[in-house]
Amino acid sequence: MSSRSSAIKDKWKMKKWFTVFAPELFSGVPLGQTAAFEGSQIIGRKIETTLYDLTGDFSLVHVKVYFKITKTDNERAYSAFYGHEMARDYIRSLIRRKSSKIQNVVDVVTKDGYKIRVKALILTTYRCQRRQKTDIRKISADLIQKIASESNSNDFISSMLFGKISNEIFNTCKKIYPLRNVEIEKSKVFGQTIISEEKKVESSSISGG
Amino acid sequence: MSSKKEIKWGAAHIYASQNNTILTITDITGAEIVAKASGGIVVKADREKPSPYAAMLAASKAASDALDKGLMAIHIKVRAPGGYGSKTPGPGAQPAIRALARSGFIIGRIEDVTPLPHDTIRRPGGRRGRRV
Repeated sequence: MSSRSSAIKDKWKMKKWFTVFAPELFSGVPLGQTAAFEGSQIIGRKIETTLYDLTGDFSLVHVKVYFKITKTDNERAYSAFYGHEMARDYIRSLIRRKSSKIQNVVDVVTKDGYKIRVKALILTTYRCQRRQKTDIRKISADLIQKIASESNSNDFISSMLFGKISNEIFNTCKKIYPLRNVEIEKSKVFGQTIISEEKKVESSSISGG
Repeated sequence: MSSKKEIKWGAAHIYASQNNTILTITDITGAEIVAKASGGIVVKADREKPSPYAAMLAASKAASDALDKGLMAIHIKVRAPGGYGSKTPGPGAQPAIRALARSGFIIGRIEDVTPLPHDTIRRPGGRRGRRV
């Protein structure tokens, strides 16, 4: 028993710690450290942080951001934006009785070819009719598509995370029905279409989300 | 941010069911296990596995392992069985969190990560229930 446990301890000591850095969009902040024998093992690992940790703005504490490690260089690992999600308790706090919840899942392609799935959450002040819901859904989907096709992935991601897209949806759709809140609830990056196949994130296993 | 660079963060995953409490302390990616413990390895009787006391012992055991390996701060992720099972964490969750905090870790976020279905699947057991 003792020999086995010492072997495990030694194995642990052989591991190196890699520091993971955020992409340039988030000014390359160190996100944390992860252990492995060699750099090739950590490619594909995902790291979760909040926007508060990245920016220091406490009002963004409920936004969880995911990064995926794409590249390693000695003891430094570089990551790419992989998706984001609002905290479950925050979404729960928004949803109330006697008002409608309109959810919308849109697959967009940005100008530089990134495929991103965006999930919008629109909450109205009072209960609205089906017809109005359908219109709001359609208009917001068109708007998200339009913004995506006009902007690069970095611009799109930052406008999605910092509320620019949701503001635009709010201002456009409030003409149809008074809205209470608009959030981009969740997003996921499926990879880049133009660059070669190997860089593409395997979408088959994650398409359920 | 500069202070954060030196601190080695990890995550403690606590799975608190009605029958046991399982702790896994990992690095921040969740891919690399640093330490693990459960209610079942600290007590003899099966019926004591989910007890708060067992959870406390297990947590302090896992914490001392993780501290030895150089982890200094952790985010805590608590979960219940979820799915068709119970959605509230079992009796071991609270004392496990407390024991982790007391063992010297800096605690970051504490989060509930119970897998909640939007709709749900049918419970096992069939139409006539579980026949024991």
